[in-house]
Amino acid sequence: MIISRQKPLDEIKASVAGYHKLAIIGCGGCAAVCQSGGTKQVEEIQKTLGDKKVVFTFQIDEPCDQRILARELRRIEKRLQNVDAVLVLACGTGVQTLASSIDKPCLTGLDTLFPGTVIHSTSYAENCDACGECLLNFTAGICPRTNCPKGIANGPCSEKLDEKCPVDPESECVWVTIDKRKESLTLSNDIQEFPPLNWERRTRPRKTEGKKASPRE
Amino acid sequence: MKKLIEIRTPQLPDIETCMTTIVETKDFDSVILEEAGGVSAIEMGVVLGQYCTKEIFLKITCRDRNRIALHSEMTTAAVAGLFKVVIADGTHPAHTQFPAAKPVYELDALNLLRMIKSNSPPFGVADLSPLNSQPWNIGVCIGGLTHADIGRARKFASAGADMFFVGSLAALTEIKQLTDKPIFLSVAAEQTQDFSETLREAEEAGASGINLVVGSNKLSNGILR
Ligand code: SF4
Repeated sequence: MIISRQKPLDEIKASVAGYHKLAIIGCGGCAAVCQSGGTKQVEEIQKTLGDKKVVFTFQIDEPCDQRILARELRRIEKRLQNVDAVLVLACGTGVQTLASSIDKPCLTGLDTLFPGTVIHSTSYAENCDACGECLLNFTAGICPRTNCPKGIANGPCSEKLDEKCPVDPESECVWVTIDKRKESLTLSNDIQEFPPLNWERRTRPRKTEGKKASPRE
Repeated sequence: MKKLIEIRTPQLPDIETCMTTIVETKDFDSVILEEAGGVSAIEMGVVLGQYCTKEIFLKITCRDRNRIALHSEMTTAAVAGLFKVVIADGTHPAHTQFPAAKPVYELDALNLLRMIKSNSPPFGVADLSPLNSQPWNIGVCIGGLTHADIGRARKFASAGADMFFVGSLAALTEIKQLTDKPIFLSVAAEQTQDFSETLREAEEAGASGINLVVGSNKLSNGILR
């Protein structure tokens, strides 16, 4: 799930200030779950933009998927011709996929936060950094690169004093958590060592080609 | 027993006071210089070396440099003849004077030690000239006393750490069982009521020295008393 939240209203208003006729498009996928881009949020934003002419509002299930997007855009093709700009309530990927598919300025109403777990409505947790070099098989299914504020893969860090993390003294050091989890699952506690991430492989923008992402060398 | 003081290198207005204090104090044999937005630790180490006979240690952290910058830093330290280096992951930027700075930690302290000590560190290009030809004396810091901390200490030992810095007497006792290398007890200046008593305890526990960590980049004689 891509976690997002609505931008401050003033920022949204400033971004559409130069346009009069707008379309507002929400995301029925992640942003709807996050209550940042669902039908209700689209309606609310429409109300707050009272001085604008909102020509139409629309919901696309996964605007980040070009196949779904192409199909849905055919349904609104004509109406899109009547707007000056489109305000999109979707994550950065959704906004950019949409923006690359239409000839209108696309503005975002959301800030994209992280890929994360939905704990319950409005409570989300980050746990994967999409590094492309997954360590989970060695760390009892807990990612130290994401769950440690320093991303230390050979932890615990030099600054840890007891079981807590000095960056957030309320939290347990992720390396202590990993250790406890390994013990409770009777997993091997052999000392592994991990090299630093290979950033050459992470040169941006990342993409995979072919039928499916090929295995890492 | 060796007495060290660990300071953050000063900001511009405090340089003179800090340098004079270090040069004049007789309370410490060695000084560990850490950079955290102040003057360059290497530059300060070189200048201090001209005015006093105290041992100079650099503290190099992984917080704000990637492997390229760390490699340059170590190379420059070698050229300056500063071979005593304490490495650490480093305090998170959120707890520094630059809370909004990007935390780097591209290498962790273990990988940094490998980069310094290994013949062919596994994460540079093949013709990168290895740092390990230099007579380094590298200290590492062990945070706590959990199974995970001890595991990391073992990795440091096998990667060639020359000294260990620990945060408690209990950790000192534990690390002593892993290595016969010098172990220093680091204590925070602001939490140390009676320095001579702490010194005595450290000595009794078999520490090679005590490291008084001043958690600020302002150094005055008051802190040294
Ligand atoms: S205490 Fe643990 S979780 Fe916190 S920064 Fe250090 S290694 Fe990471």
